[in-house]
Amino acid sequence: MGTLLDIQELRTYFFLPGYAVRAVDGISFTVQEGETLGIVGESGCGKSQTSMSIMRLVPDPPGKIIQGSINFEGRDLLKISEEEMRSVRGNDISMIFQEPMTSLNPVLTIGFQIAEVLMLHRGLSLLEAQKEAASLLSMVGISDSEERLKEYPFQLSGGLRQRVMIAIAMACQPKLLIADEPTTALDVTIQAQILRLIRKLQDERNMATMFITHDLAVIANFTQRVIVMYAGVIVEDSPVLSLFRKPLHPYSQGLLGSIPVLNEAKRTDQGQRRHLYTIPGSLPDPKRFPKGCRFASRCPKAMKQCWEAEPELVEVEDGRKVRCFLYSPEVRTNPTVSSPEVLAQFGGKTWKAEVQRREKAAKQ
Amino acid sequence: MSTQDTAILREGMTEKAESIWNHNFRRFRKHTLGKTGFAILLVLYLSALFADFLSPYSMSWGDNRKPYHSPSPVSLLYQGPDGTSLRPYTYEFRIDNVALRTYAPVPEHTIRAISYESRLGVNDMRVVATDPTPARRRSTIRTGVIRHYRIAPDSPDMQKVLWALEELEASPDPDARIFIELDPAVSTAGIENARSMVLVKGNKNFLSFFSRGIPYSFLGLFETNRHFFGSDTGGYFPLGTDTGGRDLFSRLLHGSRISLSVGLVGAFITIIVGLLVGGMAGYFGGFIDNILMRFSEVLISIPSIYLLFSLRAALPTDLSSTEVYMIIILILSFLGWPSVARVIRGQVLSIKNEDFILSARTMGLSNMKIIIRHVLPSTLSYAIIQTTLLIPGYILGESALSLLGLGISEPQSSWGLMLAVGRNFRVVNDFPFVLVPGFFIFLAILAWNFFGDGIRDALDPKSKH
Repeated sequence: MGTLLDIQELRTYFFLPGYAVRAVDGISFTVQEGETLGIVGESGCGKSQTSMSIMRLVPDPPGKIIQGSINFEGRDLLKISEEEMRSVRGNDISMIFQEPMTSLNPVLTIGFQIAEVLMLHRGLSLLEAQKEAASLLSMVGISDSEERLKEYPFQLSGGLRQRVMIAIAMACQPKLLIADEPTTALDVTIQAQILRLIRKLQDERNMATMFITHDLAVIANFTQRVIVMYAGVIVEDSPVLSLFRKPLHPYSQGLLGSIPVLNEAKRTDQGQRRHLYTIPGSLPDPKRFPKGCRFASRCPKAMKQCWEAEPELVEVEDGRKVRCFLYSPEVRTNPTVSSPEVLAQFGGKTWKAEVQRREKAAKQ
Repeated sequence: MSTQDTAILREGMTEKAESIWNHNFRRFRKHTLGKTGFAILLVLYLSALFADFLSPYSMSWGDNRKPYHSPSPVSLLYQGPDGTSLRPYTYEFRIDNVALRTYAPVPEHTIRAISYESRLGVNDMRVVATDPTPARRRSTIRTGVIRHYRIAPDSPDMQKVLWALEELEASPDPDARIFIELDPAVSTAGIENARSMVLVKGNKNFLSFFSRGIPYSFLGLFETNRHFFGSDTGGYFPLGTDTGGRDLFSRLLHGSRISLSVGLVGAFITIIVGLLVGGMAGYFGGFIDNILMRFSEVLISIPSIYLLFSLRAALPTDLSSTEVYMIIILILSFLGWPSVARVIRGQVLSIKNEDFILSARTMGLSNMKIIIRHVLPSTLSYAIIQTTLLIPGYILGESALSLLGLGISEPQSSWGLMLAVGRNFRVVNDFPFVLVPGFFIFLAILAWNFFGDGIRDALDPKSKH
């Protein structure tokens, strides 16, 4: 299993009159062949701009990729011509979006929209492409595919539309699928169907998938590795099980802790009313990030040095990277700072069941 | 399970949804004014298409002894020797006051010699002998036939004509007629051309459907001399004649070909140019947008009627009628595209931020393909509405150019050109029927506007119709 996508020090800034917004600010990660990667983070943390940068579709102006490299199968996507990039889009890398309601052109039949990408990348004639489109539709589980080809998006339900979007994305058998919040706009039962469909297709075709979402349930169920993003940087990069069992970065802990849990006691042992945990404050102004750690102002464990310097993304355990001073060697050896075990109390309760289930499955 | 049951059970659907165009068509049918407009347009455009067949004469044929002949009064009942019958006719008129150009029917004893043309572009013979005595009528007819056919006075052909004339004079029927087949004329190249004529007694022109008249080519398919209605012996002018004695109705129908098609073709070109320019300006934005939009603003800021005239005046005038027609269309489109482009640009600006454009880009489509396949189809309903509303302006523009002598020129016909005589007040005062093309311009423009309204209401999802 080789590396499919290798992103190094990617920076995408938006240059607006008088200031620059650092939407993606030095991101490095890799995606292995056939791997499922999740990217989580709150709105505005740069998840979507990362995927747009990979597709080289950052709106320009005002956006610009100012630094970094995106190696896809040995080619640097930032250095190839626009023409070559077009043959990568939809062919090697494809994308599905959050809003199936608006991602399909309302005035064209879905048959044509699927056929279009086939005609473009595979050089099929319209007739051949329509035939292929019908089989793609049955692949994504739409019955009466021949009939459906002639229909317009407004005649389909949200779930069906998202299936059509997936069919379009799968049409050319891409090596990487970027799913930008693919289930956010769907209701829960449809969500599960769509996710199962994506996983099934992924297994069949050995395709790598990047799930961009803020839905932790999706991450827990469908990904192997998670990247937690905050304010344009990666704060934690970890296998999914370890993350949910023991989140390292205070932001990850807060994220996992702020999920409501059914059947949890209403009161604490001390008899106080238990409130749902929220991370205090809001994202720092992307025009002027603070000098030190970007999470420092909201962090319950911020130390003096957090305000003075920005921590590096360092590997702390096998396959786990975190960007926090708590895990620097000098802090670790200092007993006054909470141990990771204590920190884990902030979150992870929700996922105990899931963790246990996976452990059981792994044993069998 | 039957196929219908399976159809009903299909996921997410209970019945076969109607297509977008069926839906729009159903809404349009509820729009009475729109339907009326469409019916009028259908009639106008069909009669333009079949102008040759529907008109009793050709576009340029005229009887120069009948300038400003008023519309022929038609009598339905004919009182002949066998009693009254339904046989519509109109009298043959001639000028009785040269100064005022007033017409009166010719006397009943008149004998006319009328040639039946077999070829296009041959002058026909209309000898009208109104003389009181048979001998002088004979002399008039004889002179006329000899002059027209250039045959010797003692030739067998001439003898045939004179015998027929005698027979006609002796006939008890006051409206008798005799058909005479002459020997074919042989040209120097050895081509034979049939010659035939008819001798008509009395002062009546009987009207009929599918009457014999000037030969023409039916839609370029075959040659025929049958016209939808008219008189075999001529002299019937449903809407009167112009200064050259040409039938106004025939010229009106032939003129509608130019006047009505200018709007259609011109609006089509305008929309195509407007869509492309507006689409590119809106989609690419920035520098391209600035250049294209500033240029279109310059064009819009110049008063269009002066620009129209100066553009036409700047181009050569000694052109064939086809070239003039092309030039008129191009000039009108040149004036019309900026306003279309501006609105299309505005729509594209909002459409290009839609998710489906982004998803088209992630599929790897090129910019041009995205504009043509994804952006512009969404503006189609606006484009269709705008087309129908542009056409009236173009019809008026063509009329204005032709009226001022900058457009279509004689012997071609267009509604504006026919109205040009209206510039002379005396003519309008004495012969108001020459203004009939004005009514048709009015009708066509009104119909296009009604039709455009209907289309807009049908295509606009917010309308209540």
